[in-house]
Amino acid sequence: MFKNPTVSNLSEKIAAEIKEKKIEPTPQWPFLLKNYFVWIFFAFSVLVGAVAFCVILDIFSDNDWDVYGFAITNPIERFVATIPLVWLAVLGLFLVLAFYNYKHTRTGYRAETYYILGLSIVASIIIGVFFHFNFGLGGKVDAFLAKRLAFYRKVISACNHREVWTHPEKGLLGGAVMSVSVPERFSLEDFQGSVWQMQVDPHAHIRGKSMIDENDELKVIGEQTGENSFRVFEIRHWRPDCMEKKREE
Amino acid sequence: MLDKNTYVDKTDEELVTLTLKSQDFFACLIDRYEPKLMRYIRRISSLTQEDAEDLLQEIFVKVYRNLNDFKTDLKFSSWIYRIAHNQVISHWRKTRVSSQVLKFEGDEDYLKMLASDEDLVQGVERRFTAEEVKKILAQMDEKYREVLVLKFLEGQDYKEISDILKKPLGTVATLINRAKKQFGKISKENNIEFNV
Repeated sequence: MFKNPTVSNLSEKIAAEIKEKKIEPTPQWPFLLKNYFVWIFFAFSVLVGAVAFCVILDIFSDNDWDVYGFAITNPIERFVATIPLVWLAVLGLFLVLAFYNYKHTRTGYRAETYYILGLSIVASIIIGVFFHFNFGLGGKVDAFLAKRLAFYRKVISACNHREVWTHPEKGLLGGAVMSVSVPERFSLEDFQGSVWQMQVDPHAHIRGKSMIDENDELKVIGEQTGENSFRVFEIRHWRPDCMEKKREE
Repeated sequence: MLDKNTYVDKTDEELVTLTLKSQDFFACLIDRYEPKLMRYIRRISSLTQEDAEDLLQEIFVKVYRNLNDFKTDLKFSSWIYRIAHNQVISHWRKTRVSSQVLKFEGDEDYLKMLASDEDLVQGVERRFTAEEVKKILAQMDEKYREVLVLKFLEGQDYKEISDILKKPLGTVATLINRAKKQFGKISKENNIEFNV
């Protein structure tokens, strides 16, 4: 103990309590561990946000905006079909979690809200864009979830717009190519199992792969010319994972 | 045996390092901060001297336990004030005692400083007496009173207040501005009473 007689009464009391209760300073590692965990959770939240952004990008890039306008008449349904609300909610949720975790880092309280949210959003966007263009991660995540979760497949997945392409009377038909006789003629099985004879218009626009092969999965815009015949004005390819899921259903 | 006077010139951070090697050095930190923290506790709470001492003892034990959590990216004084602040808040929550009767004994000079702050006296025809400032502070919201106490009575700068309250600098500035406005509002409301 100090020999100085002016040592306050309180310091003596505290010293006595510390000795009596054998109180020791907590080691450094629990504090460090806690701080590392907070940073890890922050990074995890940003990463999940990036994956959500990646799926949003994928859904947007696979979105048939031009078609929804006249295929879905109910504006609310059209809005739900067009905007990936669930993934936007996931992105929002993990941005909030990233914000919460950053705020709980050792000096996170010093940063303004706009700075942390801005940082999280920019990081999620940059990483999400990187994942999307380098690994096509958004599509893979969407397909992975759609294969395992029935609700996701029916409501959320980018592949769930089967009904949009089941309106031959409106000129919209989707399905798988059964056979190709000549490049301008092929047969297509739609989602109800009906087989259609397709005649490709000489001025038809084909998005993506220009040759039509057996088992190709297509979205076709054109006009119904008979009970099971259809003139094709435009062909779009389904994303590879989508049709497989629809056939499994 | 250690002579405490040898360590008077040591910085807080050096004393922390020494305390981690030997508990005896903790007395230096206690002696250095006991009067300041006691005043601070009584300024922001309505605790009696005895209760405040008990709370202060808890605070120092907590400080001792958490010494390894102290990092030099903030000042030791900010860190210890933060612990004190949190303990007072936690004590409020446990006891649900409101802080209407505040202690500002010996604060006359600081209260005068607060009373003469340009922003506070703006629009008010006369300057406040220390007694009036006490009354006004006692009527203020806790969140506003605590920033005024830290700024004007504890003499902390914005950065230190930010570290103590764990709020961004911008928020501290906003809180101080709003606190000043509330101070002005309450003073206007009470002016009639004071003049009677």
